[in-house]
Amino acid sequence: MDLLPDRVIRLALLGQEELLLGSRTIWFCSACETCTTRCPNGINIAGVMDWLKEEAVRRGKALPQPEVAAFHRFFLESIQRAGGRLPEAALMRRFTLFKLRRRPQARELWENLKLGFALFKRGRLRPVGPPALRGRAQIEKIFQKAES
Amino acid sequence: MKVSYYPGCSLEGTAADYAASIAGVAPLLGLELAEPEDWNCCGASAAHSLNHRLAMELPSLPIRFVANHTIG
Repeated sequence: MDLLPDRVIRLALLGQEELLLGSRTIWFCSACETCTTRCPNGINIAGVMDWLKEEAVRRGKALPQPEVAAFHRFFLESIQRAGGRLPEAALMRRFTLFKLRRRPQARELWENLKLGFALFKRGRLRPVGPPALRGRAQIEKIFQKAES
Repeated sequence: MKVSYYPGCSLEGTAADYAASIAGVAPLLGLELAEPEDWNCCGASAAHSLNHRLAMELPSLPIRFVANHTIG
């Protein structure tokens, strides 16, 4: 985290767009919303982080941690392709391959395979994704509208 | 008492243990769980990180279903 959350808010007030949109902090934020809950000034800090993330991608900024945005993008594309629900195994596969292409590491691949197998053994990783929904067309419409 | 129950995608997969806990505890509390028909993914943190509109609209479908099927 290069900027503490209170500094993110201060910089936003000062209009320091460039500093904020290129920061690691906005991608480090996992949206637990503890800061939003506890903020004595009632500021929706996590919401500000979300806005900054969306804006950084929209403006085509160079991202300090591109894999985080890539994960989110793969996540949404997976839902759209699968017709409404998230195929977790397909998402994990795509994200693992993406990371390997960026930085090939046998060790990381091995760790991921072990994790995948452990999840599979406990019935928590289904190789076959969820069925497409009856309301698939409606989901597709929501995605189309959101992208425009 | 019959309650609406939206499990979400991960409860069918990586969080299947949570689903099992809920299924085990609910009858002990006298709760009957009713899944909204044909529920879809809420978009989770991916949607609200990249697309605010998607984060509002995806969960609106199952919510609408529940609202249309709840009496009293």
